[in-house]
Amino acid sequence: MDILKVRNLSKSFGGLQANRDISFDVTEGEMLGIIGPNGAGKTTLFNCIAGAHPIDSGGVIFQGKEITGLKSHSIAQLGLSRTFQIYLASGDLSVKENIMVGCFMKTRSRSVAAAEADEILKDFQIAHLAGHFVSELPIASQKRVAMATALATGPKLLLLDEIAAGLNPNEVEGITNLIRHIRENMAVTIILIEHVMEMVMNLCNRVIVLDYGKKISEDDPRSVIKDPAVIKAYLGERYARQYLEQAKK
Amino acid sequence: MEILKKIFDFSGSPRYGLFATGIAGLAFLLFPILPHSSFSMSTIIQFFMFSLYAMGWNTIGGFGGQVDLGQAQFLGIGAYTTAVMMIRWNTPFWVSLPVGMSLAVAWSFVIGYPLFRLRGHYFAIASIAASLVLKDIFDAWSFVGASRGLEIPTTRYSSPDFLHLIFTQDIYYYYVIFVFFLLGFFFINWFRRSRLAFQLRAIKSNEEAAGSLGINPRWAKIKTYAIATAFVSTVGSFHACYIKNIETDDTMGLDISIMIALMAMLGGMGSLWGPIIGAGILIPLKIYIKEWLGARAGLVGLDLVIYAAIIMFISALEPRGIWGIVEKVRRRKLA
Repeated sequence: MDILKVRNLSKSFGGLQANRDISFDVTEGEMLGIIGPNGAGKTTLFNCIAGAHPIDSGGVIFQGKEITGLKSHSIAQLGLSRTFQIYLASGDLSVKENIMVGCFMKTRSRSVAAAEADEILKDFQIAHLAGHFVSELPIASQKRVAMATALATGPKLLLLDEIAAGLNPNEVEGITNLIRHIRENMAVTIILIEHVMEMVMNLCNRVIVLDYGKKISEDDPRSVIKDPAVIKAYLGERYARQYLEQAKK
Repeated sequence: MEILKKIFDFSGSPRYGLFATGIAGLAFLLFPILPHSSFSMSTIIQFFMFSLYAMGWNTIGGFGGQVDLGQAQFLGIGAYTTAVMMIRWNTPFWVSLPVGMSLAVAWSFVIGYPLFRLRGHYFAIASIAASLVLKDIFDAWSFVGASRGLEIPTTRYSSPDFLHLIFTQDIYYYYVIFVFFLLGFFFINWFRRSRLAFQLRAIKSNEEAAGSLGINPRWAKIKTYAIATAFVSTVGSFHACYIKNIETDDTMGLDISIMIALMAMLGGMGSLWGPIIGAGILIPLKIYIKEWLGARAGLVGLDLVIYAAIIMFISALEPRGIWGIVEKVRRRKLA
C-alpha cells in the first residue's frame, strides 16, 4: 500500500522555481532516499509535504487522505513527523523534556509522557544525556535527540533531513545502525534527504534524484548511480566509478 | 486527589529551598499580628498583587516567550467590572469577580486571535496598542465614569464586609490577597509541569519545530493568554475593592503593563519563583526609594534611575534573570 503519494507538486519562491511537477509514491515500510546537489529543492519538497510551506500546485496524499493545504501541526497529528536540517528545538528544554514534548502529542498525562521519554532515551542510547540542554551537546548527540523527538510523536512516516550532515564516519555508522534499528523495531516508513552516499546506498531500497527542482531519476540505488544524468548533475564521474568498483568487489 | 498531589508536588526542589519557603510562608502568615507599620503592610499587599500579575504574565511571556505589554487592559476590565457592578447594583465582590474574569477572558480571545498572528516585537507593539485603545475608550465612556473614574462609596457598607470586600483595616485585605497569592502559586506549580507548559516552551524555542510535533502554536498561545488574563483580572477586581478609587491611569496605563512584564523578566522568565522574586525586589524598592528620596529628600525621579540601573545590571549579568543565576549556581554545584 502507498503511504504517501505526491502528485505534480510545484513550488516557487518569487522567480525561483524550487520544485517543478514532482510526482512519486512511497510504499509502506520502504526506505526512500532523496539526493541531489545543493539548491535542488530537497528541503523545500520536505517542507511542502509536511505543511511548512503552502504548495503552489499539485497535491499530497498521506495514508489515502488528502493533506494538501493542511497546517504542519495537523499533518503531524495524522502521523507524519520530520526532523530539521539545522536542529532547532533547544532553548531551555533538556533532552528529556524535548522528547516529552513529542510524547505529549498523544497523551495529556505527564507521567505517561515521562515514562515514554525514558523508553526512547534508552532505545536511542542517550539516557545519560537526559538532563543536559540540547545546545550543550556535540552535534552527533543533537541529531539523535532530533530523531528521538520526532519519533516520540509515534509517526507512520518519518522525514529525515540530512541527519548525517556534519558527522564523522564513525558517527555516520552509528546513526545508520540506529535508523536500521528503528526500521526493524517500529512500524515506520522513512524518507531521507542525504548527501552522505554511503548511507543512502546502505539503507535505501529506492532513490529519487532532484536537480533544479525537477525529478531527474528514480530507481534502486545501484541503478541510480549508473544513470548518466545523475552522474552529470550530482555524483561526478569519479565517485560513480569508485562506487561501482567497490560494488563489484 | 490526583490533581491535589500534582499541585503540591515540589519534587525537584532542594530540601533547604522548601524549608526556606516554609519559613517565608509562616512569616507572611504571622506578619499582621506582629508589630508593623501600616506602610509596610500596604507594601506587602502590593507585593502580593504584583506577584500575581507577574505570575499571570509569566505563563504567556515567560513560558511562551510572547512578550505581552498589554496586561493592564485586563487589570482594568477586572477592576472596572467590580467597581461598576458594586456602585450600580451593589453586587457582591464574589459575583463580580467571575463576571469580570469572564469578560476579560472573552476580550483576550477577541484580541488574541488577531494578535497572535504576529510574532516577536510586532506582537509586543500590537499588544501595547490594543491596551491603550481600550484605555482611551474607558477614558471617554461615561458609563464607567470616563476620565473622572469611579469611586466605591464605602459608607454604604459596615466594615468588615466580607461579601463586598470592604474593610477599613488593611489586615483583612492582607489575608484575602494572601489566600489569592497561595492559590496562584499552587496553580503555577501545577501549570509548569503541565502539557501546555511543555508545548509553550517548545514554541518559545522554535515555532516551526513545535508545529512539526503536532502543536498548534496559535491555539496554545490563545489558551495561555486566557490563563494570564484570568490572573490579572482577578487581582484587578481586588484592586477595585482595596483602592476604592478607580482611574484609568492607575489601572490601564502602559507603565503598569511594563512593570508587570519587568518583574517577571527580572526575577526569571518561565520559572515558578521568578515573578515572586521580581515583585519582591521591585515593589519595596519602588515604594521605599520613592518615599525616602522623593518625598523626604526632594530628589524626585531618582527612584526611577536606581530602578532602571538594577534592571540593566541584572539583565546584562544573566538574561534569564535572578532565578537564572540561582539555577546556574545550582547546576555548577551538581556538576
